[in-house]
Amino acid sequence: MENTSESQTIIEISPDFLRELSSTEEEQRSAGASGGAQPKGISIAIGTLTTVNSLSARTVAVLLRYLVGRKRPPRGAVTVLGHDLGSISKREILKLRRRLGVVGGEFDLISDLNVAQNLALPCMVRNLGRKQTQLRIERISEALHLEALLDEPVAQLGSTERRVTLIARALTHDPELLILEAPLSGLDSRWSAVIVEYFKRLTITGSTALFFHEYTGAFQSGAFQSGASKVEVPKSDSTPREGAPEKEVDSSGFDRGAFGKNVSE
Amino acid sequence: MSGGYFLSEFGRNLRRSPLAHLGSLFVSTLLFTLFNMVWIGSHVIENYYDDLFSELTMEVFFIDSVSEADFLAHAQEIQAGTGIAKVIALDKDKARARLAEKLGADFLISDTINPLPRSIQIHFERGSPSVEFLSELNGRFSSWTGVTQVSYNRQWIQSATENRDRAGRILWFVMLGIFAGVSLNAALLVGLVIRAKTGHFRQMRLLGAGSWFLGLPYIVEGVTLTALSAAFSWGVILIAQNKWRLVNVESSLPSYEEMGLMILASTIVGLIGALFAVSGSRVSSK
Repeated sequence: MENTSESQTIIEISPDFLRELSSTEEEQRSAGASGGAQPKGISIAIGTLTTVNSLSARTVAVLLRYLVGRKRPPRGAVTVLGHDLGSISKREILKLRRRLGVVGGEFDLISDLNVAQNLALPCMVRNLGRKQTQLRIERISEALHLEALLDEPVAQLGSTERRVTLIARALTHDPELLILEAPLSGLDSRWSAVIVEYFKRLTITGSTALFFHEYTGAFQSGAFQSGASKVEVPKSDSTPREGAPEKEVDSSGFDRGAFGKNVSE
Repeated sequence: MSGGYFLSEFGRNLRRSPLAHLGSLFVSTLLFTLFNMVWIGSHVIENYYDDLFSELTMEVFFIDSVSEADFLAHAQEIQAGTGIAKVIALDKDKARARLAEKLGADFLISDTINPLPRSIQIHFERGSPSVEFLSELNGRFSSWTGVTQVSYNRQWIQSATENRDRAGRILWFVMLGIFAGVSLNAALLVGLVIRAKTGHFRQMRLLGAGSWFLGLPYIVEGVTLTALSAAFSWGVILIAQNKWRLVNVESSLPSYEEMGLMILASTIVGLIGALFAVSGSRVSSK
């Protein structure tokens, strides 16, 4: 980790920039643009798991492009892992991406590879050895119950298996920061339970993750609060996003109580 | 760079578009075979001119007042020079006999009076005579006391040298053109393979893969196919030579070292083509 140890802030998105991105009136309100209130940005500290549900899908899609360096924000508007994305070089962007694990936006699997080969890609890009890569694939595939699928060509996977593989790929290389857009979206109860179980571990390992549009019910009570130093929800939003598996999560036995403190409100 | 990724990418590309690779290999092999034929042709032409030039002689004529000892000393001095194969000292009697041999009869009236001068006839080593070399000898010999004339066919050798050089230049241009064609062929193949994998590259870039990580397998692919084509082309030439036993060609065939160097040069040609394709593709984009 580079500059992050000093600030302990892994993502910093300025209020002005967020307000600019927010296209709907509701989003502008939630960002504080109306009513004279000072708009709040997103600030995520190291070792926290944060859910942001207040932004529209379109805004999240655009924001994701900024967060992974596909678009260049104004200077000082977005800082990720200590890098100001407004002034970062192309080479540094690539280095930064190697430290991220992302699900959502343009991120997809490579269809002409099998599951194991897809899982190996982040490790190979980071130049981890063959043995280390193998170990990590075994570990993540075991945790997410993907062992039986490892040799399957991605093109032959169903949408659920594809989604889980994508999540697994984002986790294989132990990224310093996870950015996940509705990771449980479209998953059935069995897979949701597996993924949520794995996300619980992130709180124990002190990982940093930013969830967009995740149905908060999936993570409530024991899920994150046990280990996360802070759980942020910029806007209370208990409405499941379209496609979010409310019933499926229920059937896997998660408590649907309040989802932690909404610190941004 | 992961060797596994590297090799598997190559294998996947071959499996994905076998016909494109086979076609490219075939076209490059044909082009290199043409290149080899032109190269051998240039050797044949060079050998032909070397044969012609090796028959060239220079003759240095002396006046009668030069003593026999000085005349022979000059002959020895010339013999010791570089590029000289043989020196024949022709005294007056030998000159008369040579004239009679050329004309078919001795036309000199008197047996005692022989107006023909003594001369030294110079034969050159193969490949030695050039216009500059002969001019330099001409200048040196002309400055000697007692030399009346230095004779050689300057105009012929000048014209023959110009023709040889012109032919050589044309052949080199043809060879360069063929190399450019092979390079373009490699660029087209690599470009085609890369274009078919745009989505793959986008994902790899999103994961943080750099241009070298993405481009290197394709560069090696271009280089390997070009080197293979070059090796096959020599195989074609050697098989043809063994089958038809072309005499002039046999003596002009490059050595195995030269063939190896040509294959090495072909890898540079492939490298240029592949680099061109990779640098202009999505691999190096954001």
